[in-house]
Amino acid sequence: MPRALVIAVVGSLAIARAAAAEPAPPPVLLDHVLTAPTAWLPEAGSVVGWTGLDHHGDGSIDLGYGLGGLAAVDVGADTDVRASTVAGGAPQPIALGRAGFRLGVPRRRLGAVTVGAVVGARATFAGDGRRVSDLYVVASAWLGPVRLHAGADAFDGKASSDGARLGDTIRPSFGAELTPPQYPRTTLLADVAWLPRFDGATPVVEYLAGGGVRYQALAWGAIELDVRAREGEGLGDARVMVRLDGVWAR
Amino acid sequence: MTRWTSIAATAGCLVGGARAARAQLPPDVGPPQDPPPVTATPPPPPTQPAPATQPPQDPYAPAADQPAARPAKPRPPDPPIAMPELLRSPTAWLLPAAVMYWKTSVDTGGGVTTNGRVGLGDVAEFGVSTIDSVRAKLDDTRTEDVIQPYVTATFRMGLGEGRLFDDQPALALGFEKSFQRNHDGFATRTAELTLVASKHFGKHAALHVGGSFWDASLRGDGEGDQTISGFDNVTLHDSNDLGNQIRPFGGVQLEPIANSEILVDLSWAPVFCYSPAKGACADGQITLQPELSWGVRYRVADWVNLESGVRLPNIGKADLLDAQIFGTVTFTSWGLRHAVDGLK
Repeated sequence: MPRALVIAVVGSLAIARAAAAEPAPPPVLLDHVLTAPTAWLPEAGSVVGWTGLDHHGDGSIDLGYGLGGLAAVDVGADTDVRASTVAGGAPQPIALGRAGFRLGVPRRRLGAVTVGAVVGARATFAGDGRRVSDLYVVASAWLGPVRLHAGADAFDGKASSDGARLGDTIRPSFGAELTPPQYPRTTLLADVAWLPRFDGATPVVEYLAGGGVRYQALAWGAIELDVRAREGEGLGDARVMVRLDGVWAR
Repeated sequence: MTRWTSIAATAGCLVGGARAARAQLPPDVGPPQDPPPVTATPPPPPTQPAPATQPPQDPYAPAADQPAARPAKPRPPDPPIAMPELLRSPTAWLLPAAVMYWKTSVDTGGGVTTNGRVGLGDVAEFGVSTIDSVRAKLDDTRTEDVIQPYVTATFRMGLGEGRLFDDQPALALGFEKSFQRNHDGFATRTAELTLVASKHFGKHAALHVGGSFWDASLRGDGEGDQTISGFDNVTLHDSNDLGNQIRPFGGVQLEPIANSEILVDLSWAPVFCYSPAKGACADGQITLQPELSWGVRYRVADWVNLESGVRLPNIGKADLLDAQIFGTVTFTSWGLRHAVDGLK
């Protein structure tokens, strides 16, 4: 048994050394930072997927497909939106199925900057009467080690099929990614976005801010360790989560 | 030493003997054959011996300078198919003769639709589909429910682009009629007559413009458990106002990247309001509401297309919560056409 362990450790070290010796692959470009959208579109025919789990056991999953280099469609489920059973109660994340469509300009170089822009829409399903939809515009710029994302998001939500609506609400979204040249496989993430919360039957708006680190262990995949905090939460209520990301080209 | 010498001598003898024996065999002798069978009557002697200068020839054999069998001509590749629909609204492009088309779609509103069509003689097409665009509500205070599946049959006929004169747009006259659908105790039917023109502008853009003439009926008496006393039959043409029945539709098709098209279209769908109470349905019990859709069609292969996009079922209300994300897969097949051609 100890011999097997030693062999496994030595083998792992050898593989890790070999991986470290390889040049860093191009970064995995996703349609979001943590919550805020980005303007990166997947290549035609490629599949993008990610899944995550936080320390409370709330998970998320999403699978997207690049449509001709012009657009992307994705389907998944997440626990970004919170709801409380009664007004003023403690809100808890609720699982909502979500589908999204993005149409935009494929990223292109303009001098030293690579830019992209996207118009997207997302709609929820399987929410037991709760619905959230949004329409957003986002632009991204990639300059050296930094990637910046800024957008505007119009969203609406209601807590039940006959419940009161939030009404069309517009909020900004921001995101930043930094890949230090010394650590080409590591990316620091930070973002802020707004989204509805259901306070009993009444929808309200809250922000969701987050930060994390994405390590690109494979040419096609990365692992993230993130922290997200919501409006009105103390630091102790922040959620720590692990995410796995993958991009499979056609 | 003598032992090795004797072995070498023996080997030399064996090799030399084998060579000598092989030299005596005729070249390329095949396996031994059976002797010819003994027949009761010997073959008759040839009456006309062939001249010594010309060998006998089969008069039915192909000429020596022609190949024995002509190889099959390779079939030319199938041309791309101009799709008979944008996202929701029809185009004036008809399916080529005997080409089959199958489209299936799902959306976040819970809608599932299918559409099967076949081209008839390059001038018409026939199809059967299930749609999810027809909606119903009890009154104006309630949310609309999708009535599905709503089964329709379609027949369209028309002219291809440039058939009559240069720059002539494609034209198609279509009729789509639903089967009766019972829903919540009410029976509904719809019918739509469309005339549409489609025109390419360059290789990568096309415009579709059309008009539709709608009719629909709603019956509440005796159709189910929720019979409402005194509910008369209602049709869209009851008002005798053609403005209630005629609607424009159309769309734009752009191909900025090969095999990827951006589609935008405007279409219309009926909404039934069941309540007969005065004021419960302010716009009437049968109305037409406009739908705006935009999306992308990606041709994955010659026979399969993927479409996805966003649909706003009532752009008049600008209700974000009504927005639907849809995904569609479309298959086309020339198989029946090739089978028919093979029979000719």
